[in-house]
Amino acid sequence: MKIKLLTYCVCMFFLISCKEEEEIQKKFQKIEGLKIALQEEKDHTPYGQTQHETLKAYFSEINQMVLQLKNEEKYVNPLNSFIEKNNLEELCSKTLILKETWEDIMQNCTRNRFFLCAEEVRSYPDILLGFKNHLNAKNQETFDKTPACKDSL
Amino acid sequence: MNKIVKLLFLAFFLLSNIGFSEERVISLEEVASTIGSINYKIQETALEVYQAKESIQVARGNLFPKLNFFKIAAVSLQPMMAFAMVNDIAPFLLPKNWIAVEKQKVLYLTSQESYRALWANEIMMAKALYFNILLDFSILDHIEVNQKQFQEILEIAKLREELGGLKPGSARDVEIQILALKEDIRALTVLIQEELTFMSYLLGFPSSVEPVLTPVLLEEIETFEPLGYSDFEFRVLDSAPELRGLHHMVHVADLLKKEVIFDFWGVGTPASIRIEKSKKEVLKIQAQATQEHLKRELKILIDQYNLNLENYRDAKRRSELSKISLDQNFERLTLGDDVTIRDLIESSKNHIQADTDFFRMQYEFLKSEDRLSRLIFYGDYDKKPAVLDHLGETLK
Repeated sequence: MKIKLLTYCVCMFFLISCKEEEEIQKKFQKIEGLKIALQEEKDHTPYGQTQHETLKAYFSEINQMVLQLKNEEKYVNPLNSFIEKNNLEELCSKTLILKETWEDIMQNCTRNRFFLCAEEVRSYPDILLGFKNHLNAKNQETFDKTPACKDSL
Repeated sequence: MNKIVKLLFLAFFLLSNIGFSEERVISLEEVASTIGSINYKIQETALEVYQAKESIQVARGNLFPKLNFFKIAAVSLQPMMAFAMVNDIAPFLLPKNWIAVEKQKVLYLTSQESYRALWANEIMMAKALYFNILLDFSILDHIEVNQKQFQEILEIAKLREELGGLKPGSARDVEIQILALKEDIRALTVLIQEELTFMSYLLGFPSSVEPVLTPVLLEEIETFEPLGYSDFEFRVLDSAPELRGLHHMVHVADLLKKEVIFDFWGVGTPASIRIEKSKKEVLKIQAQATQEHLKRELKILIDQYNLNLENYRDAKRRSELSKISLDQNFERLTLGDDVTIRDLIESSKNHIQADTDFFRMQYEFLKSEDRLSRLIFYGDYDKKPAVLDHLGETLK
């Protein structure tokens, strides 16, 4: 009976953890799609409604992900295990934009002394730093060594 | 002996009073950060800035049309925008009792947005008060310069009258204008004092402290580009707490079990809306109306901003040219040329008119720029109100 219960508990643990990893994977896939859309729109200046919405969608999604990591501890370990199972360089280049690109976007978002894009655009470096802080030591080290990741910060 | 004691007491009293009064230099940034860090959860605190605005508005409204300066220098009082204070961007929901609303978990986000709107309006009003004081100081300064010029003209007129080169009574006419300007100086000094007292009160300074305002630099304006309405529309609608608050309400309308009453508060038209399930449609219409209101507000502001920007260079040039013309007339007079008193008065008026228009335009520009910043929640408005996080503390 005891063994059955233990097996049941272990299975449940793995199922829940798998479920969270799956959620994280979906999130990364969504961000990847949003990044493609962003790259199509980012040079269409001056920014109109479509460009603003595209930018907001991408940066908000990253923001939401970091907020979720901050507010719900249960996602931190699955995130790290997901990153370990996948190639971080590929993950970064598919989902993150380079700092240089972000700076160009920021320039297009500014007119005289005003900032015209969504607030999430402006806080990208802070959000990314928040993301990095949720990685374990090993992943952080890889992050710092990988050009596609570190050049985004 | 008794007299000496009385005199000593009086001297001590006067000296001690002088000793208490002190000046404190403040900047526009300091005003924004101080006003922004006040807790407006208590309605009375929030009302203070509104009351200050109303009170100053009345004082300015009473004084400005009566100032002789505007008649003498033929300076147009229109548009009144530069002399008026600011109104709220859009009507916003203000919970009657923040604490009670905090208990309604579903309305937490709405109360956050409402607080943000209130907080930003308080900052905008304090900054408008700051600009108005600077504007009034500039007007005072110009009246004083104008009076000095008229004084010089008076001396010349008197001399010419004595020598028989001028129609009798010309000097008297100039003197009447000088007396009228002196009256303005006294009235304007009282108004500025009143405004400074309010500013001091808003900033929480002791009554003995008089704020000294740091001037605002305007040099960059010439390099600015005209703005387009479409560039701003997204940001305005995306960041407006007035709209976001209503969207939260629409979202949670189905979840509401109890009826909650919010107050419409701000522009002096008290009304209330009752939020219940059946009022969801009303909220949607309200959100639509607020959106249109914000768009209209943006359109007017952009037009005003561009107009000021366009006029800025011309007004600056006009001010420079009229100054050259006035200086030339005085120089010709010194060299013994035949310059009539009428020419002198005319060129003095022209210069004062051009100069007043120029600095009025600068303050109009600053005010419209600040209102645009408030509309898009940028600059002093992009910070988080100090107490915002604590609004939901009772929920945790």
